[in-house]
Amino acid sequence: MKNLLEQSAQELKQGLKQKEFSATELTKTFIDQINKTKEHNAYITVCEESALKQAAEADKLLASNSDLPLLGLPVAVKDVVVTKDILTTCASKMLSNFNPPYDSQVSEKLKSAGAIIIGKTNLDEFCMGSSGEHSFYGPTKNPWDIERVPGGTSSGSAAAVAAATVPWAIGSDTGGSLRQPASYCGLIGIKPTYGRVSRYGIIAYASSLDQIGCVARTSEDADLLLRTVSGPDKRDATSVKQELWPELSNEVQSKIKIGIPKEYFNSPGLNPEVREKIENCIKFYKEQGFECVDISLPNTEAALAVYYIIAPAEASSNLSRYDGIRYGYRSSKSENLEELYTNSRSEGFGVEVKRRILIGTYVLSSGYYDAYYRKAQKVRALIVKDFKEAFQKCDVILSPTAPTTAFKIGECDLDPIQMYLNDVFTIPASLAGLPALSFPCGLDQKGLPIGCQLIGNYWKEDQILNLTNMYEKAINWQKLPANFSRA
Amino acid sequence: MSYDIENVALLARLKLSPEEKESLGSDFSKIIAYVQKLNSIESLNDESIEQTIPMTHVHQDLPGYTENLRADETKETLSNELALRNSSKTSERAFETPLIVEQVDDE
Repeated sequence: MKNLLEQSAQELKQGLKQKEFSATELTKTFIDQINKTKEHNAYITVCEESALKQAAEADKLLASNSDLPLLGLPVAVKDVVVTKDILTTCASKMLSNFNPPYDSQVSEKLKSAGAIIIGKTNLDEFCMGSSGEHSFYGPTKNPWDIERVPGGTSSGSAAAVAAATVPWAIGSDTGGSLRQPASYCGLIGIKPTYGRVSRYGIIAYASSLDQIGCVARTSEDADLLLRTVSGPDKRDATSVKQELWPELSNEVQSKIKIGIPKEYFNSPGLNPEVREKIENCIKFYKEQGFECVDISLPNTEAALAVYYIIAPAEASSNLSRYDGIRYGYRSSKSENLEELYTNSRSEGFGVEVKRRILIGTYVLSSGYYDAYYRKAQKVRALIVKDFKEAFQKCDVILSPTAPTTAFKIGECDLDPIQMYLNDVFTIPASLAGLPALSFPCGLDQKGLPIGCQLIGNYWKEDQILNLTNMYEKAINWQKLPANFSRA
Repeated sequence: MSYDIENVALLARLKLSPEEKESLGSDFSKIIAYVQKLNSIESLNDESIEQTIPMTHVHQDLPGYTENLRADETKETLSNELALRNSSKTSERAFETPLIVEQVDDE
């Protein structure tokens, strides 16, 4: 039997059904692996006690042949997802004592599918960052090279899966926060169409951009986990009543056209080794009989600026709820209400969060709203139009996920713009609300993973997953770093 | 465009240390300078481009879009105990805050 740590969730599911091992044994194995890989700092909370309880329940249900879709399968969950009675911190001092009195829809769905929540993973504070370095609980490290970042903000979720502590994990993606860490950690990371997954109970950063998605090592796993947490929710007015996408199919319609956006490939920061591997992907799909067409997304260059106006603006509004009174960190040195707000917030928030709140407050303030925020929303409309026109000529768009492979911890410290440029290829799909994923397409000369991005049209998660599945079956990429098993 | 970081911080209810004022101030300038590039997009002068209301364009064409609203009926909500459990200062089933209104002595 293949090492449990190496098996995909689907393989583990079969193993549980066929009684090759129990949910309790499986959970204990993963908890052991979590303990062996503590240096990665992928987890904020490890739910050993509750996970073993859930595993015991799952074993009872397995014995009676229950067919819940995720029964007995451990999953790690990004600490931006509210989980009832399990500490949920958003990697911030502001919420370091927050014990949620309710479950998010995502947690509800995981539980009712029989999944075992094994732990809450580390992230950049309040989902602001691109590296995994900006956490109150310390930086997360990339299991492929612990001197490097795993990417962010779903840093812990990616590191947890890449270190084989779980087969899959829930994360969130606002401007690339699942796809970029997936790219740096050799995983599949998928962000669905905006509105697919309820944001009820997802700690808000930028409400018109935030989406829950997942990281996994196989297309089938990514598909199963994402479809399990998808679905409309009356408690989230932006969630949509839309049929789930069709099941994964091995027969991809060869008349799918793949668009190659020239602006992405002309980007000056694109590393030559990354470019080479992405060009190999294009070659692969051509050899399979897909037509690859050149397309243009003319407003691509503006997308980063648009994002860094809109996202901070929405964040400054969302984070105004942290006042030290109803929940979260409360400063002890305040004479009056005004001081209580100011001190609690100044002591509770980290530096990147303050940076973005300041930008957001400024671009929404009187006299500047038109110059910045309204202008950015107009350009956003142009970016959406670019994609709509491109999708007249193609069905799916292929590009690099990130301009480089994982950089060293501390490398982007001095210049915030340099950090923000890591998301230049992932941001446009977020602004447009399109489904997008990253899949591993090779290693660079240092042995670091490179990710290829596929962007689909609205609601067409199946097309990007099927193309990924086809590549995965043909290439069988290296799923874990060579040294993952710390036996 | 000029800005006063102290004023922005006041609006955001943040208090910055002198070091933060300097380092965040400098980052702030870099970011605002970067986003100025939107001013060079010519097609923005076309007044026919409507400002997109965030993300509703994704939903508009879907059948049943207007059904996303529910009836105005009271549903289950958090108990008082659960609602208060994360606050560090509560009394008599309410959150406790510093005095808001000054006490005025009777004359």
